[in-house]
Amino acid sequence: MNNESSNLSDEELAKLVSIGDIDKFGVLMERYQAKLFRYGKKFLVDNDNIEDVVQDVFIKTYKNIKSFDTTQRFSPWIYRIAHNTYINAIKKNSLNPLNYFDFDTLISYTIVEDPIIKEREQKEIKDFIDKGLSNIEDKFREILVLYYIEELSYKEIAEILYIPISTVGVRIMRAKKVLKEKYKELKIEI
Amino acid sequence: MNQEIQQLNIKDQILKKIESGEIHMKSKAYFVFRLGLLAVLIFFIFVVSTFLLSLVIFSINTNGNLFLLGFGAKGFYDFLLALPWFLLIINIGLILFLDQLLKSFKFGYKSSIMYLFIVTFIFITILSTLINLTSFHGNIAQRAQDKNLPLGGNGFYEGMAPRPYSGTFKGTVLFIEENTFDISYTRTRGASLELAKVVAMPNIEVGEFLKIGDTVFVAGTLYDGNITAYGIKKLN
Repeated sequence: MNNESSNLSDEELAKLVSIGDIDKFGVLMERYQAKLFRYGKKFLVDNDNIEDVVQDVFIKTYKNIKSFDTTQRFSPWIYRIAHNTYINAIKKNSLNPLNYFDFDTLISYTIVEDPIIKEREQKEIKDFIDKGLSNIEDKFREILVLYYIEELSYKEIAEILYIPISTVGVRIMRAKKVLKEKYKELKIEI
Repeated sequence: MNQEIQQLNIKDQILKKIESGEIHMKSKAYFVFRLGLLAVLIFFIFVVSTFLLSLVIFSINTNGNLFLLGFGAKGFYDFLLALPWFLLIINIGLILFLDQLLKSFKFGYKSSIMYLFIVTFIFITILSTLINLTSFHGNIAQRAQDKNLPLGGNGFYEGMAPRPYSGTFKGTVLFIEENTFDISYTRTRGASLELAKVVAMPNIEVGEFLKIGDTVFVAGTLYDGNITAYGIKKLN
């Protein structure tokens, strides 16, 4: 990554890529591949072809880069592409239909993000997640990865999953509960 | 280390594919076209939904079924039965689909499904009510009756328009005697006139509040030419 590129924001790079500067796409890939690998590995626990799926994310990003609004943030946009690609990969590999509907999206809640609680729980939940998340539902697994591993905010997660911000809070709350119950049930010590 | 090599490979592979022309960027025009298509679809569903709901409101107004709400619990029960549920269910389905499409936009997914549904439903209801303040449906109904709508519209409109509820009658008073009176009524617009004797409660002198020539709305059961009424409303 040369110095000139490293000073540019993701949005500026995306703009340059959209007008034909292909090398800048390489810079964007360098910035996001570790994150997308980590997100994919934790979310697609049973998928052995994670490289192919991540490659697919970058290909879709490149193909659709002209639809990116450079006045918005690039990060939620590429994570949104990753989310859709990962969901498709799960659907493809699963015999059971993917249940991604959430009754919590039906009504509004008043839940605010609390960074102090997040910091306090971060280590514990990360440890839980590192032990493997395969036993919990996809929608719970994904939101825990985005919040505790990728360290994204409620707002960013809402933009990635296309759900109201309040639903993000409720889903995280439920996911933590499910995760802890699952580990208690399996008698796993952290 | 392995992961780093793997990641470098992905980057190189993709850049190679881009340079060789194997992967193409979609043009801006493609996305504008897609957005336009989505906007047209949203507008179309919105128009159809508003049309159907305004038709439901028109039929409730025309048939006078709203008066049932003033006839106590039985009237309320009959009002629910008289609602064109088929059209309403289709309309709810359309609004849900519309909300699903609106969720493609930021303002759409930021709201809960219930909130979005209520807002779109209220908006469409207000618009449908406003349409019914005009002669829009009256004119279409008249043209359908005269078989004057283009492109098979006559059959479509008459098929879609809700039928009057079998327990309600709107007609003109022809003759009054104690607690009974005769009316002439039609079941649908343009249908032939029918006659019936309306029997009110035993101790009601109908002549005290009705006169010959009045237009009335009657709720009751028709049997053998007699309507046993549980609610009568003078309309003029």
